[in-house]
Amino acid sequence: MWSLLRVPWVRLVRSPRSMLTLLPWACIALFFGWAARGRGADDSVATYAALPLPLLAFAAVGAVLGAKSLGHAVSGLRAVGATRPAAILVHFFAAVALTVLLTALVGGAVAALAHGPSDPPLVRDVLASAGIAALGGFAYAGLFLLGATFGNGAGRSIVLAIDFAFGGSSVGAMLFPRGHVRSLFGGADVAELTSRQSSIALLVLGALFLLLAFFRTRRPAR
Amino acid sequence: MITLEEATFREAKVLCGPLSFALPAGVTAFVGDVADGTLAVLRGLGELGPRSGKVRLGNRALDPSDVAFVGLDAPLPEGLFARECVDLGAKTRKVAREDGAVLLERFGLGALGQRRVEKLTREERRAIAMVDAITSQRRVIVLTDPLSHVAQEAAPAILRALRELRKSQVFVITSVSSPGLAADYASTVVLLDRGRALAPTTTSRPLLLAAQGPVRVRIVTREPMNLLRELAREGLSTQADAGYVTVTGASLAAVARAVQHAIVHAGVPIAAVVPDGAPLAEVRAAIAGDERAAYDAAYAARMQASGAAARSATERVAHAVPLPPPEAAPDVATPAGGST
Repeated sequence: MWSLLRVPWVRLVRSPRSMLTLLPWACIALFFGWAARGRGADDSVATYAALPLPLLAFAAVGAVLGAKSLGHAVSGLRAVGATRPAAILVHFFAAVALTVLLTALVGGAVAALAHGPSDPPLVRDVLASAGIAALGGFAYAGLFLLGATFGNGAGRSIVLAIDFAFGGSSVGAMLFPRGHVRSLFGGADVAELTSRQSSIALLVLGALFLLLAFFRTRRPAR
Repeated sequence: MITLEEATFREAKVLCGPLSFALPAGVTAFVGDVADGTLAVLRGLGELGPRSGKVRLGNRALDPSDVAFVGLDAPLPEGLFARECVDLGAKTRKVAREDGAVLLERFGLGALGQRRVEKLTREERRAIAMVDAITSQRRVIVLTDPLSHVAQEAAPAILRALRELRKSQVFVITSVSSPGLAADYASTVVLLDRGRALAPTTTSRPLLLAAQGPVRVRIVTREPMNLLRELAREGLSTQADAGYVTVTGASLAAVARAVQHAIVHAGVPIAAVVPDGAPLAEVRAAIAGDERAAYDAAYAARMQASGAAARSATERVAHAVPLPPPEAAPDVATPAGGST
C-alpha cells in the first residue's frame, strides 16, 4: 500500500504542468487577502470560498489523477498488480490529503494577510479559517473525485459548473459544498442550518461523494 | 486446471460461449479474431470475470488476485519511469525478482527504462506490461495478443519466455489470430469461431496445417525498407510495416531460401523471424473437418451398435448422437468437456 501511495505524489512532483494549475488559484486568493490587509478578513475569505477554493480543489484532484478519469488512474495501478480497492483508496487518500492541505494553508494565509483590528485574535482567526477551508476542501475533493468517474475525466468540469450554477440556490446548496462553505465563512445560512450543522453537512457530503465514487469505480468499465 | 463451466463472456457487442472445458497448465492460445470472441474471453478471464457460468482455478473460483492481465491498452501508472513500473509490480505482488532496469534489458527494452510512461507508445507500454506480467510469478497470466501491437524489439524475448512457460505449472492464456504463431509457443490451442469454441486441442494439428500450403513469415528488423528492397528482387510477395516485413510465398522452403538470400544481401540486423502460418480460416475449416469426421465416425459406430438391438425389435434406435470417443479425435488434449 505504501509503495502504491508514492505513485500519485511522484506524478504530482514530476509534472510541472500540474503545479502550474495549482499556483494561479493560490496566488489569486493570496492577492485578495493582501488587497484587503488591515480591513478585516471577512470579505477576503468569503471571496476565497466563492472562487479560488473550488478551483484550487479542482486543480489538486486533477493533478493527482493526471487530468484523466479516476478509472484510468486506477487501471494504471491495477496493471502493476494492485487490487482495485487499494488502487482506488490510494487515489482517494492522495487527492483528499493534497486538497485539504492546500485549501487549509491558503485559507489560513488569506485570513492572516487580511486580518484587521475588529477580527478575533490572529491565531484563532487563522486556525478557524484554515479549518473551514479544510472542510470545504474535503467536500470538494469528494465531489471532483466523483465527477472524475464520468467520461474521460470531463465529469470533473461538469460538477464544477453545476456547483457554480446551482450550489448557491436553496436546494442545490444542500447537495453541493458551495453554500455550506460560504455560510461558514460568514455568508447566508443554508436552509437555516447552524454553522455546526453546515460543518457536519460538509463532512457528510464529502464522505458520500467518496462512497459513490468508490462504487462507480470498483468494477472495471465493460 | 482452469475449468470453465457454461461460462459466457462479453466484450462490447461480442458474446462468446457458453464454454465448458478444462485448460491444463502451460500456454493456452485462444485462436481467432476479436469478432470470434478472443478479446471477450481474455478480458473475462483476466479482469471482468464471466458474464454467466463459472471459471474455477482448481476447486475454487478464479480470483482477480490470481491473475496478471495485460489487455490491448495496458495503462501503466503515469508519472513513473518504465523501470519503476516493473519495480512497483514486484513490490505490489511481493515477488523477489531482478531489478526493473535489468529485467527490461533482458527483454530487449533497456532503452525504455529511463522513459516516463506518458511518453511511451501503446506498443511500448504493452511490452513493459508483458514483461511485468510474465515475470509476476502469478498462477494465471492472461496476455492479449502478446506478439502483436507490442514493441517489436521485445517480441523475440517474449516469444522465448512463452515457449519456456509451456512446460511450467503456470496457466498462461493468450489470444492470437494466427494459428501458426499459436503453434509456435502454445501447448494448447482453442479455436474460436463466432463466439463458439471448436475444440481445445494440442498444437500438433494447427502446426501441421500451418506448415502446409502458402507460408507467411514476419521478419522483425529496424530497417524494414532496406530488407523490403532485397526481398522484392527475390520475387516474393512482401509488405512492410513499422519494425517488420511480412513475406508470403508458396512453400516454407522457397520462402526460407529467398529470405536468407535477402538478409545476407541487405546486410540489415534481424531481431526475429516469426512464422505466421496458414490463414486462420483454412485452419479453422480443417479443424472443423476433423471434428465433423470424428462426429460422423462416432455416429456410424453408434448406429451399428444400435442396429443389432433394432433387429431384435425390442429396442428403438437411439437418435441421440454421442460425443466422439477420444481415440477418434487424437488431437483432443483435455478430456473434461470437448467442444462446446
